[in-house]
Amino acid sequence: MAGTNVQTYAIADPGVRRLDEIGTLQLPPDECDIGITVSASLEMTAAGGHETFFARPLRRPGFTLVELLVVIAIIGVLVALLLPAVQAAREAARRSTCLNSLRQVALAMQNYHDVLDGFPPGATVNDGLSWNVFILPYIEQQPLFDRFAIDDGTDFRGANKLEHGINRIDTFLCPSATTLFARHGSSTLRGGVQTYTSHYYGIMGPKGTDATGQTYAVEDPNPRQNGGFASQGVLRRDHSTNMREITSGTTNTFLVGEIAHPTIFVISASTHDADFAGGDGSCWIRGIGFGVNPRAAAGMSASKNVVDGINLVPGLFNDQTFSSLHPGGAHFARCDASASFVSEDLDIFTYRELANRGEFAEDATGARPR
Amino acid sequence: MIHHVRTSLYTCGLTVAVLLGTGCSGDKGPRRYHVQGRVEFRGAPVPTGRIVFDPDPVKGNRGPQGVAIIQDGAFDTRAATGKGTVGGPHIVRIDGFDGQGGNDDSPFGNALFRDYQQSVDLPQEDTEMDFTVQPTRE
Repeated sequence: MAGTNVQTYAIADPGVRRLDEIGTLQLPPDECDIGITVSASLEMTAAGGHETFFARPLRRPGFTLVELLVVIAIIGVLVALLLPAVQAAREAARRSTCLNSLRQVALAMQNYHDVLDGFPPGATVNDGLSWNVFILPYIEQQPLFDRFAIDDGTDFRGANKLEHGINRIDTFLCPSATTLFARHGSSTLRGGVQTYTSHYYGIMGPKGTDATGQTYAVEDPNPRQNGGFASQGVLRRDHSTNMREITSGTTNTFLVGEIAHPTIFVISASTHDADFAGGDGSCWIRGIGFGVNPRAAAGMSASKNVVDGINLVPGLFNDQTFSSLHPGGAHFARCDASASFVSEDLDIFTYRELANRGEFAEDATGARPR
Repeated sequence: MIHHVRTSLYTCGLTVAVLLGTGCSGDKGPRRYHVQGRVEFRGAPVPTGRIVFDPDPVKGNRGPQGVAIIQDGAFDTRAATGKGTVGGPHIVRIDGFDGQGGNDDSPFGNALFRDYQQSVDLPQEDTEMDFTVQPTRE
């Protein structure tokens, strides 16, 4: 019975797709003559037997090799055109995430200000910790904050400090940056355990000259050749700035910016590896590193001076330039908790003024920061 | 047939060329001019350091800074770490280091001199300029 069906199939529809069905049918051993018939039809089909089965030759509809190649080439070109657009869309998403993190940081600062009547200090010398630690309770990290040794007179490598740097705080990390880890030896735990870095740094204030040629105030200029501490910004050394001190207006004053420069910017004469970038190289909990002699703090990590423009190759440690891998500029949060993208082609004096919490220094042309 | 294929290939090529030509010219911001040259200190080339070109606002020049890394006495703003200047009156700031014994906080090594400043007038074109840092009392 089954054998009969097979024969009908094979003759009426010699299409290739039927071959499988025929092959899987099990034929009774006593009907071996039918089995021979089936294999005969298989052979005919395999030999391209359309012409055998049908009277007139049938030209199979299809594409020539050249046509296929042309189509593939066109698809290839379209994909090549599309890929940069896809990459740009991904970068746009990362930029959006980064901007959001920065805004969260600025909002946490506002909450801190509401509770403690002032923005957190950029870093405090007596414990070497950064503002990143001080705002932990305001970014849902109270339990972590409770573990820190605050105001204990040791630097950031003391007990219950740097070791907590192994906690990854996503709010301090930009998704476009190429590394999440601190590269400094001083920010690495015993046994080579790496700590997380932060890509967001406070603005200590402007440094250098303003548009009228006046020099901005700097405390301890260049201790240990690190660049000193600007004092006209908001997140300063050992000083909690109240909003009433921000006379240029909270909207016109930078609070926190981004540092995640490309790898080629990592200049290193030291033995520490320079093959990855992101952040200033230190752990997110690091505020100030102690100088050996005098004990006065020297290397400021948590906040930076604004002396050089965005995405400029950095010089001294405390003057590290705000930078990012977002094309053309970097993100900044301002004291009113807004955050925005700032172009690297911004006039340098306007940029320095945006870091200044005091009155604008107007130049002859009356140009003011927007 | 062959003629048809060739025509479509030409069309494809032309389209790509036009799209690439129009879509990828992303140069924004002010026109920048490159500076290259050498920096000497006490008669010897500066091993490493950084040279920054601040526009001089007192002389009416505004804009973003130019920058270059000094390596073995030479600098060029065309380098990947450099940025061209906007031209016009500038104040040049140079930091020089020996490139020895750098650490986490001082990647260039020990400072030979820092924040050396000099007033220059840069042309509105690519240029070459050498600097000789005068030792200050210190």
